[in-house]
Amino acid sequence: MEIILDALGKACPTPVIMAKKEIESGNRLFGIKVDNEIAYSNLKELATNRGYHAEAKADGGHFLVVFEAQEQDTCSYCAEAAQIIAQKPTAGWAVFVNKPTIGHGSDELGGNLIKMFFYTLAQSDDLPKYVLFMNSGVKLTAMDEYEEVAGHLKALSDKGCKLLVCGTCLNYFGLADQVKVGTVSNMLDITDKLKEVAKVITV
Amino acid sequence: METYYLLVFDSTHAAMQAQKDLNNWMKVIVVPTLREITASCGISLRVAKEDYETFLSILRDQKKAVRLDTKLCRLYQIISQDRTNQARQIPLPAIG
Repeated sequence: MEIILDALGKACPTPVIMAKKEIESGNRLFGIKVDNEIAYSNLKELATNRGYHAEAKADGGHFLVVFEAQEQDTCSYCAEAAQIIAQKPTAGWAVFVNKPTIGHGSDELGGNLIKMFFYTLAQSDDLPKYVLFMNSGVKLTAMDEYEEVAGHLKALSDKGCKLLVCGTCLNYFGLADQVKVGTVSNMLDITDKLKEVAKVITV
Repeated sequence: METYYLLVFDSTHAAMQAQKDLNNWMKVIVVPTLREITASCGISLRVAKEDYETFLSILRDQKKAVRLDTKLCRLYQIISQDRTNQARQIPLPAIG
């Protein structure tokens, strides 16, 4: 393996961007050094999405994540078909949560409104494809005081709705190891999901 | 089929006050008021069937000091089946 990228000390999503550039330049085998687990889980997700296999090796207190392209069909018809499959249809909807309340004016009222919002969503048959959490919205997935909302989010997740929680934001609020529901994610993935769906509702 | 109890209110402040007081002693869930019930406040408190006896005893216990103005709220038993809800009003016990 000739290329080893150094992302030690780099904040999310820089390691993912570095790996993405390497993949886009056509490199089929490379490594990237990172120093935290969130970066590793984000890199692993990137690898899966791009047809790579990613494995982390302990490297003196850090991780060396090795990316290796998985064997692909080289026939042109297969490549064309794969490209069509990869073009995601614009369908479904997403909820974007950027604070632990609905609206402004009263946090107490807003906190109750968001509880009722997710209760109503969880009871409904028409579910969002994604619920995306950023900034203080991530508190809903991690803090004990929002346990009631976390219960509704769990019900949504059980019904197949994907919950993506911004890792940078969790880290900022010191909640990275307290996530009760959802998948820790990153700006690239969350932006992809926002672009993918036909409609985004921001609460 | 699912059975639970719902406290509905005439005022949002009364609903939030009761929620805070009750949550000191038991778990109630904040839910939107059902379409089947006419109330001027959209916030209701949902009490699970298995918690109903506890709920009643908390209301009766003066020391628990739950601020619930019986003139501003009503209690319903909800029977939920196939996405339809049957609401039956039941009298609130004397409080405190």
